[in-house]
Amino acid sequence: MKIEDKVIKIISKVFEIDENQIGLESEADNIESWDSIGHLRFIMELEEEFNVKFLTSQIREMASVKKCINALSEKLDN
Amino acid sequence: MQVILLGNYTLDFLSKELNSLSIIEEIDLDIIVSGYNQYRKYIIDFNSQTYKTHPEIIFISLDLTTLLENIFYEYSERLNKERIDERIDESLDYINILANKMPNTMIFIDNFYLFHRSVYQTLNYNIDDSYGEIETYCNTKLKSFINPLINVKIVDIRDLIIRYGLNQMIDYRLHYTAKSHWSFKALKEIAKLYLRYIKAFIGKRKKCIVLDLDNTLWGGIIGEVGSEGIELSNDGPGKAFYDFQNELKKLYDLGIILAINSKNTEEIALATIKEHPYMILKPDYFLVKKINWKNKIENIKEIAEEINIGYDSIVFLDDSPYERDIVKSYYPQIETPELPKDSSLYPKFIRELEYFDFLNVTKDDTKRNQSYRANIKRNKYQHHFNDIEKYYYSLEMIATISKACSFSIPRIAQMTQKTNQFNLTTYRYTENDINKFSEDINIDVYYLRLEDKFGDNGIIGTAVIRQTNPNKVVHIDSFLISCRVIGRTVETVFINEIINYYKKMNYHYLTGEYIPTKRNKPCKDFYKDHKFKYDGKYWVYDMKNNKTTKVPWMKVESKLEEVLK
Repeated sequence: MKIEDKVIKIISKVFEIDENQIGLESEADNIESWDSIGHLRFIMELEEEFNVKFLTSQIREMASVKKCINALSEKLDN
Repeated sequence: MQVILLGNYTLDFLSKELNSLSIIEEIDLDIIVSGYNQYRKYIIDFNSQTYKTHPEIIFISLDLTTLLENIFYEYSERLNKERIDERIDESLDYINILANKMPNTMIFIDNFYLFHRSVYQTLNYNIDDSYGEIETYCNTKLKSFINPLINVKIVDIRDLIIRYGLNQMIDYRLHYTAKSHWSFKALKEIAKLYLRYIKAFIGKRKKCIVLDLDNTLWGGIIGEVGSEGIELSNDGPGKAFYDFQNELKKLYDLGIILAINSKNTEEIALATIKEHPYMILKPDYFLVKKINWKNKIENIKEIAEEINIGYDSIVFLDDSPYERDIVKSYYPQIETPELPKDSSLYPKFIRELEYFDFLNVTKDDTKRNQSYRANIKRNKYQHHFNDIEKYYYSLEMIATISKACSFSIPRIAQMTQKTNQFNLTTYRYTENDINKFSEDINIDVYYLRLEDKFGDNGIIGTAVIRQTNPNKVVHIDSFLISCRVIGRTVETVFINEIINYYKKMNYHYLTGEYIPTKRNKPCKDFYKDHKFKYDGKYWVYDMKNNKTTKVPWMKVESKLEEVLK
């Protein structure tokens, strides 16, 4: 499964929305259930899935599918 | 079930986790969380959801590190105990209010832990009132605080932290960004722990362990290496089996039934069980022993029938994945946990099995194995009689009927939780519910104790009767008989006494209903057999114009008369 598919799957699970409604352009601002607590739960799920750890400063930034994929690719490349 | 989480840090993460896990485990929870550090408001505001929603359970999770926060920085190497007392006592005062305001709610409170360490690590315990002593100090306070409160119990969360370590349990990023210090792993483990307490509270627990012998209770195959060749000793690798057996004995002591299901030659295996010097579980510990060359499915079926328990009450322990699979595929309700490959992990494995959680121990628990054993004797004895009445007479049964009292309430609640077969309505009640009922003048709670020539069966009948229509009608809310004594006319004696009691108080009708479940067929005809008439809604017994069926073979001691006088 590609990174973006996995990310979308996790978003769908954590925020309880249909996978079809999530795309590369999706971000916290246009998903209602993506609140601050949900955001951290989502990051924890991402970390578990990809076996990585983000810095506190990165976590705040990762509020969209695109930004998540970028942050993940960066981690996974290193 | 309504559950409330209160605490002094952000609990939303934990509540989400608990919610997902409860769905998987098929326990219906409705969880409400206090806002960040709002537990005081949720306790002293009597209009808050805490009181409005009538929760069955409240969890209180107070993080000690947060609770004592600035005290750490006010002092250097020594901590001021008076300041600590102030903080702890203040919190416990709130919990005391809650416990007294909600006597029918079970309150679980986490024990205390500190999640960061002292910068003066090597001063710990070497000076008075050092950082290292705080946890123990606060937990001792907590323990003496909860002791007199029957509806407050401690959740041993500190044990989880010891097991997994602070490095795995604490996530500082979340602590500083969201005021919740738990890691992903910690949240999962705490949710699991909370659910164990919930299950223990509702009495969801397995009753019986069915055990294999070779490579389960001892190492090696007895048929090949003989009694002297097996691994079982009080020293060396064989001690793992010795310890494993000791842990099983502890479960036995609290009423968990043990049985054997083994492919072996019976004489050889039995001789070892009887005579091996390090065999802890001697033959009498096993209620049923199936040691033969039949397949294990057949044996386990016979075990369940002889003891008279459901498959969902059984845990099957066998080192062979093949045997576990076959049992699981025939009886998916049976739990078949995987034993560790290395037998030195057996004792740890059994200690960590989560099927046998208790919140307190009733007398009936500790005596349960005895009474099951007597029951099997009774059933065998019954075969000598072709006339059932002669059999009843020969049992020399004495039934005692009383109203619920403080010592019987835990057992009564437990019965409503666990009885499936002879249970007319299958309403499940907690100890707190029964407590409430027994204080309500419109509700009567009865229990029946049965003794016979084989021993005391303990409390084996429970009834909850509600007075509905003033003076004329009483209604059976619950009526249940333990499966151990089904078929011994106990139910007739029980209902007779209840009828006679209300008749004397000039009631006219006793009504009841039968709510069918998958498992309560044995009491389907109870009303019909006891002269109740169906009126389209309820089964109705006319107390003025009916006579109860005599049960001459049973001596009845009613404690209800005393109440009337």
